[in-house]
Amino acid sequence: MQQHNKARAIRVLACGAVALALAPQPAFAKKKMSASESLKPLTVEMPTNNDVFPDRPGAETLDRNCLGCHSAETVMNQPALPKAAWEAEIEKMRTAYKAPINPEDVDGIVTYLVGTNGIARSKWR
Amino acid sequence: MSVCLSSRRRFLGQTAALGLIGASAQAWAEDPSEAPKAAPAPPAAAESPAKPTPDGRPLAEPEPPPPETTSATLPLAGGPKDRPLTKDFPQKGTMILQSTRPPVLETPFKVFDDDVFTPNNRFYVSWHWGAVPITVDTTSFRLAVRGNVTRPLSLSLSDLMTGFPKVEVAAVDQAAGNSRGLFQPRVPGIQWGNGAIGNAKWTGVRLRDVLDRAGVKPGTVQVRFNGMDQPVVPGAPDYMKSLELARAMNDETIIAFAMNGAPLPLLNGFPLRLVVPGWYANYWVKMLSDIELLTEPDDNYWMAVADRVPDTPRADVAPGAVGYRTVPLGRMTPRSFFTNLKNGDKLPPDKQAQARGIAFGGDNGVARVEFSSDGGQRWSAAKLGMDYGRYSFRQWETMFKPATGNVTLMVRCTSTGGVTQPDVANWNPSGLMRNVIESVNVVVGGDEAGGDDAAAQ
Ligand code: HEC
Repeated sequence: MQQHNKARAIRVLACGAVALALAPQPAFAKKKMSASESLKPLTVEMPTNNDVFPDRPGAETLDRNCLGCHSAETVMNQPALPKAAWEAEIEKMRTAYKAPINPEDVDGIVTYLVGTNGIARSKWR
Repeated sequence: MSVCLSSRRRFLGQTAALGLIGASAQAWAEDPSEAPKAAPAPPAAAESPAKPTPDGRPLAEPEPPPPETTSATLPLAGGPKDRPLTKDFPQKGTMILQSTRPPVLETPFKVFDDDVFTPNNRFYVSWHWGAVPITVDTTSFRLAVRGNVTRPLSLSLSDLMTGFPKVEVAAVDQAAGNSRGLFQPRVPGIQWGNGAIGNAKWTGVRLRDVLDRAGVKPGTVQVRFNGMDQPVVPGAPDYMKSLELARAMNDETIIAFAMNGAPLPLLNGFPLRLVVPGWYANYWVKMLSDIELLTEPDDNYWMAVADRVPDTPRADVAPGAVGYRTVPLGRMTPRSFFTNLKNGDKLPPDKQAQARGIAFGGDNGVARVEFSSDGGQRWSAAKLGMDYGRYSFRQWETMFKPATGNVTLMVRCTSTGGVTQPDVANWNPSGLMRNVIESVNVVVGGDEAGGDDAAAQ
């Protein structure tokens, strides 16, 4: 709540006093300059996601083909799509993004995706 | 909700003493030098762990709804609507998790109710490939400027930050696919709600000044921008975007090294990011490390195949249409949003209520914001907040006394370029450039009317 309170400060509608506080470039500008002469090296830690696809027939085929470039949620968050749209998606993964998908696996992948179409996250497992 | 509303309304009376300083202090707490200095995480493993043993539960078995703090519900017709809320990403507070790899994070919409500028730690994140560098050595970092120039450059960060005049612009950063999940019929892609957007003060140097130093040779038609992120398989298309020379040389296009007064968070492009005010963020190349002047129009995948829209007004075509011309993305269109009200909220009867939110003019400023409390039959002008420049969010607010029952509130923005948000949504197969008038359904008085799904974002 405190953060909210602070942040609301900039909401200036119909409040003359705030406009005053804002008029000159305030502390903002000064502080900024110290940071802007140099930038410190930066290392961060990224979370991982090793989820596999929800367990239905064909899930292993997707685990093998679809987790190299993105996490399963990228696929599972998609809406229900017609079969042709899923076929086009897999074709795009193969041709545009160079996904090494075995052509024999494509039918099984499409069947899985049509079957899991738009399943809510709470039911993924 | 109404409790929350009234307590928020009280803040309006307290604002005077705080001014901009409070907000910027908040941004400063974000200094990446304070980020955890953890050992570099290995790139997320792609191997498949063993399948969990199937527990035999049918997919349809209902589960208790997760506690409010761990998940968000996006108003995506047909679903899936639920997304985890995460605090696990570096330099980020609570965000809606769209994808862990590549990192794709949506800003919870209520953040936009707090401030006209979006805090760096709540600013949305979007990458195409999972291989985002997690370490940036700012001492060895160089920005290359090469191609059709007389003097190729290799600029250190201090060359860039001290060698050119500094400029600052307040500008909205919006993914062209913002609100894709609201398209009907639905289309594939990241299923964003309305939160792939943010507003910041960007500090940097003019791209033009840097290009002038390199000396643009005659025959240059486009300028291509590449960042340090890489595709994860050989031969796949590296993410690069190009601007026409005139747009690149436009005074307003900048190479930014700060955002809201602090260095960019890594996931928003540390150390450098292109900022193209008024244009979709797809061009705002993050971790910018390479600028190439081209003598032929760029035919790379992200210009020639992806990120293209129908060459029709509002990029609108009928679902299933084929054979239309497409053009690369470019200028944004006006939009406006409610930030204090959402679908299903209940308002007390016979009482003045406040509606407020944010608007922006796209490639222009905000000329006016209009509000309707009767489903779009009558409109009245909303009061506008401080003007931070043509490309910034502008806050709006209005008081109204709604009729009783189910009430549809609407808001629409008209830009200083004379463009008004349309009342029918555009559609295209990539789910880009949505800017239809937003509406919110609230229930006024009693509980005679059942609010439909509370689409809390
Ligand atoms: C070689 C890398 C690669 C592999 C392997 C891969 N994809 Fe993708 N996929 C991508 C990229 C890159 C994107 C995001 C494109 C963007 O951000 O615009 C993507 C996005 C998607 C999306 C989101 C919709 C869209 O079009 O952006 C879906 C769905 C998807 N992939 C499905 C799959 C499935 C199913 C598989 C396995 C059969 C798969 N992908 C394997 C690279 C890959």
